[in-house]
Amino acid sequence: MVTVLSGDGGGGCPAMVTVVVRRCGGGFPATAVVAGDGRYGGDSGGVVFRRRWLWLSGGGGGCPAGEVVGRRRRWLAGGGGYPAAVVVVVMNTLEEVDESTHIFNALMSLMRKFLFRVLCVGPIPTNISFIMDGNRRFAKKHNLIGLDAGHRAGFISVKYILQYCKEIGVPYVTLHAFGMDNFKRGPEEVKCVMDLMLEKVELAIDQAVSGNMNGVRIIFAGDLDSLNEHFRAATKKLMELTEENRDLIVVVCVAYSTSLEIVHAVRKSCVRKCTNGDDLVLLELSDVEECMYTSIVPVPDLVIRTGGGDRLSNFMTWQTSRSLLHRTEALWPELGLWHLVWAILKFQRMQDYLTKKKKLD
Amino acid sequence: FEAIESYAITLGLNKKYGSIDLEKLRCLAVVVDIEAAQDVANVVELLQWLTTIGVKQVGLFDSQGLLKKSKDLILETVPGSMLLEEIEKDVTPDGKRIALEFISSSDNKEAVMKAANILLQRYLKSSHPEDDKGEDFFTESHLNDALRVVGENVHVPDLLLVYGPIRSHLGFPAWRLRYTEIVHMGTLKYMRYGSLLKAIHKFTGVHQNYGT
Repeated sequence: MVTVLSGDGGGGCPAMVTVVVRRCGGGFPATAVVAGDGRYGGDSGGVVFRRRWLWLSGGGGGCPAGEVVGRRRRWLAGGGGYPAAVVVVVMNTLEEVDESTHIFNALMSLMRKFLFRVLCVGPIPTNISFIMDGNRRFAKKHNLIGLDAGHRAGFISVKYILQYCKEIGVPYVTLHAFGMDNFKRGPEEVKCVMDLMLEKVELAIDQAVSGNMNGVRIIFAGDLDSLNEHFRAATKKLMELTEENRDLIVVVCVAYSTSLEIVHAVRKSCVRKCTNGDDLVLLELSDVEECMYTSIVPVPDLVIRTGGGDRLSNFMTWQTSRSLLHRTEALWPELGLWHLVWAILKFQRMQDYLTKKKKLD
Repeated sequence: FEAIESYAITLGLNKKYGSIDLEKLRCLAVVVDIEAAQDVANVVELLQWLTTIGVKQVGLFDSQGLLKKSKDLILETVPGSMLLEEIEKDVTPDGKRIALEFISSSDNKEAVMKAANILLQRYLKSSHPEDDKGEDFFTESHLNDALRVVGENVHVPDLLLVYGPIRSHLGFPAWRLRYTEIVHMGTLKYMRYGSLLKAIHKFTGVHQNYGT
């Protein structure tokens, strides 16, 4: 049995990925199931994503024995090795992608453009922040194996959401990637997540070097000094490589929490005041705010939290006094186009009130 | 449907809400938008409902401090209410009382700036090396202490109920708003007892990982 699936054709989405799934007899090597970023051999053994039709996940190798799960959307859970009933995923080249796939992709892209044109009749948030909750629950829900399985699925969601935000014309996106409190998780899980983030940063560096960042600037905000040297160096390189990009500015909050941010900003501004040798040593609000990790971006207009949580989890509580806080029950890897559109429509409906509030403040 | 459910809860038709374990809810905060804060009667009614439910401590916030100005009226009108700082000093605890705290935007960034300036003055008076980065003088604990010195309460509310047109904390003190559950209740003008009870009951069932 052969099933051919393809990406949905949006720029920056795995448009050129066609995944062929064959069911065969045993004895296949555990090689990678990969998702492209519009090129081949993207994530190493990561998640292949075709949002509406089929989900495949690999955790560094194909599927584990006995873990082929058939669902309405045909999920196959991976984690290493291949089962006796064998699923082999093979990347096709661009030339092998058939005509119907192209047409379908083009249609989806056109529909999206039309939808966004309509959406842009109203005000668009300047900065949308995302609290990306629910990766682990997603992995559990779909029986995905591997500590990073849910997070790998989450990364695919990041790509789609950034693509949609860019197409809509949102200038800034802030992502709550890893909070200071997340370091309290099991050391294995923390290492897994940090390794995954490093992998993605290095992938982005390759894309930046080959000119495939599509005008996206990446900035890392948080206590980066507390992270390992390799990660720090990679983030610094990525920030430098994308510094000139202006189409979409993405702030990735790592080792971040508002309480840490406030303390850090107070400390830095106080030390700076003393060093400057000012006669009148009095700290102003602007002195502190310019030392904050997220000072480079405007305050969020809209905060979207996935996973059904009702809290900000120590994320940008200082900056969100005039923000619309939107929550959705969808887990982060499930967040899609319609969730985003709905949140923006809500923002547009509340625009008068938010503008009035800004004036009063 | 929500209105029907709310009335059913108010009438006691839903036994699930018959009794609520309030042990998890040590501190409740209520954010009221400016227009609603002008109508103190609704705020008083809300506080009476909270007293009936058994909530012991409520922080009332509006960004402009209108409720602070009506503090005396509210304390006179809500039976068993006292200011939080007075209850803390009182050695004869009474189960029927409700501690009230009045908060506004001046308790947010302005308060942090006052606290920061206290820390700055301490830093200036201390002897420290020229290349010192201030790590011994500016920590979370130091900032907490300095906030207490300027008269701020640093306790983190467990639950924040927002009465206004949108789901937003409207400038509630950022330092205190870390893992607080934020629930949007709609406008104060159309508040319902059943919805309040449901929100508090739902909170008592929430499990937080606190990042772990």
